[in-house]
Amino acid sequence: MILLSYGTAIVLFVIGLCTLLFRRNLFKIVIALSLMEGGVLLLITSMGYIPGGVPPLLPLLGEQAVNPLPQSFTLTAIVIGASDIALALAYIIKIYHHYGTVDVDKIRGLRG
Amino acid sequence: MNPVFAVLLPLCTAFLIPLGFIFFRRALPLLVFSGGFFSALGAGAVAFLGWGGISTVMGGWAPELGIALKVDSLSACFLLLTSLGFPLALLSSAEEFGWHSWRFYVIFFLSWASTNGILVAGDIFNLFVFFEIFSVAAYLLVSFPASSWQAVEASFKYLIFGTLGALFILLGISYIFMATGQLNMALLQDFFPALPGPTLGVIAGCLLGGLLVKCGSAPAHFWLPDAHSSARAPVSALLSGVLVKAPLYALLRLGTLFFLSPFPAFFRFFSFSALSPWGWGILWRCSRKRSNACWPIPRWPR
Repeated sequence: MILLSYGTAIVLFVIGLCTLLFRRNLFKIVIALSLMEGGVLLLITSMGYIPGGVPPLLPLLGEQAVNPLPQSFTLTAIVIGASDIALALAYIIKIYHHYGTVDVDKIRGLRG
Repeated sequence: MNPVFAVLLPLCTAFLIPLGFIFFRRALPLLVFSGGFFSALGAGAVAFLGWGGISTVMGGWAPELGIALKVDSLSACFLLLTSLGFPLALLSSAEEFGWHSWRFYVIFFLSWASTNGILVAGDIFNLFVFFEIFSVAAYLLVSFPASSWQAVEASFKYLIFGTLGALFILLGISYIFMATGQLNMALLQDFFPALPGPTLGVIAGCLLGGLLVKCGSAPAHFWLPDAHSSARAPVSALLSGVLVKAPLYALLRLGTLFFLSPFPAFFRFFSFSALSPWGWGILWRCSRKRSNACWPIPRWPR
């Protein structure tokens, strides 16, 4: 079960990386970044999993809680990723106003 | 002296500037100037007092749970660099933008705080968090008067590659946590020799890839010439003088801390190629201005 979670995380990361490398649409590039981030966050969250663990809330409802530390890392990383993506979308709006397109090949400064 | 002052003073200044703009608009130049002065003084004091090594954990937590801050002679050297470079860039940007463009100074002081944060961070996750504040501030600094479309494009390119690098760093950090269950650098030093070679290789690959993209070193320098040449002169000086050095510090820190015995040549080669005055970009960039921007050392303002 946990191996499936790790595998999903890495597959998501690689899908994002391939999209980033081979797609020419700016929005798809930003979606690729978001996918890669989701993959890494899934990996971090599933690291804290303990078989039979309960949510790490007091009072504990079982014998052993899952590790809460990766969950707090994930929370921080989600905020960071959201700010990155918001800034990227703002830049895309600026670029679209100037060029009238979101195709990387038609935008002079992004081609090289 | 607690190393947190090196982060706290510029951070407080950054958040006081909008308040100063709303309530005491006449005193804004004084606020910016004195904020810069005290931030430089604080960072310099932390650097001098921390030369022999200080380490603290915020909030009274155990070192493996709390936010660890530490200064040693390597970070003290880089702190001295920031406490010289940022005030100079502040004066030069006051000449370029005037003392009243408060939006610029908010981003400027945020980037100052996060650069100092990278230098005093004692655990890897905080290093990552400060890196991201630093990067977002740097993207915004590159495109500061957002009227120039060249700057917006260069900044977008920087953002895409910077985020890609950050995700690789995060992947490396998560592998470190998976392998050891620790993120504190001082504690990790004991765990690393016991790890098997392939694990160390994967961690080193992820961290190295991410940090090389961030510092614009030889094989991953696509964003650097554009960002430097389209930014305004003080920002360009700040970028090449101070901001590019922060990922370099992380590279040196992680390299000396973890991988010095298995991977010495790798780290040395890439750090020198980031420091080398003639980036490889010049080989296939013919534009004169962009090839000038390949000098990652401070230039005179145009």
